[in-house]
Amino acid sequence: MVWRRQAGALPLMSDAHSEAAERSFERDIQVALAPLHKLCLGLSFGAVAGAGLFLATLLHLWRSPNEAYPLALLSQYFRGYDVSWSGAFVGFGWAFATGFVAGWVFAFCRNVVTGLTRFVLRTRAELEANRGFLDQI
Amino acid sequence: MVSPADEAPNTQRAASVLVRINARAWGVATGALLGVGLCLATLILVWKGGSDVGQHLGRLSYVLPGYDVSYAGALLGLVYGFFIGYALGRVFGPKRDLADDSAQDGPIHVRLSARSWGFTLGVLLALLLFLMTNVLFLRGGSDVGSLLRELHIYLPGYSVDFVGSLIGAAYMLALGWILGQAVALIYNRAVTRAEA
Repeated sequence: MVWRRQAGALPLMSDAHSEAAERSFERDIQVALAPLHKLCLGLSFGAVAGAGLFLATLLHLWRSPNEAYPLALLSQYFRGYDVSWSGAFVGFGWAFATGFVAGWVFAFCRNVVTGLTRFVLRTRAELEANRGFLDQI
Repeated sequence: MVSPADEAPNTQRAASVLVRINARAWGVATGALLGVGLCLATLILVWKGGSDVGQHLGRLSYVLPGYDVSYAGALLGLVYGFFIGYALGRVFGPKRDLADDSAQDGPIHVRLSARSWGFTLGVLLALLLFLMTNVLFLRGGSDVGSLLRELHIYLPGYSVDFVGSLIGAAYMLALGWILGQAVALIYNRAVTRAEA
């Protein structure tokens, strides 16, 4: 079995298994740094937020029907919202929209960070691999 | 063949690098969300104006020194929100998002671990409520926690004192668990459909 060194990768690998191991490693990196789906995360945040505010409004109506405070404070941000049956549906719409934007922004920021990191790692690896170039010319 | 002596440390190094990258990404995303969210919430109230503007949101100054409902306060809120969100996201973010391992050639997207998300959100919400309740309780004063006290409508047994903070934290742990699981399950289904 022939052993050889590969720069920037595992230090000692056999010819027979080095390519397979490198492909597997690349795949692991790709999977670990895969992006979040922005639209889907927005949808899931929106759905949960919308359902949450809808249920919170109904719960408030059930437990404290005569006092809208403090949930009524949300009307400062959600025009048309109030602690009532119709308000619960209005609140669902607003919370869904807000949650969607929050989820989308969250996924976007995470993808930017992982994408930049992947770019930096790849650039470093390429520079490392070409380090001996100037010595050879 | 990779010798066993070389494989384990390399795999561990790679895994720890990936965990750090993931933690950083979570921290930045959570910080951006919290910071921008608080900044926008403050600015909306400032633009709306009116008498006694920010009567309720301004109470955040009890836990965020220097914060108020003004342009300067919005900027300070952005900074506070980012740093608090970054710390929370970095420390409590899922250590590993579950990714699809299928051998597909097209672009793959992260799948979310329902357990990780449920645990993370539950701990985050529980910790937030526990800390806020106890900070207000320790500050004391007249009519302490008048706004937070209203949470008893949704969380029976909750009150603005130490015992209440434990009860509230338990509620939030359960609620966060449910919400986190729901987010992850809805997201995974949506992504599977989108990639199909």
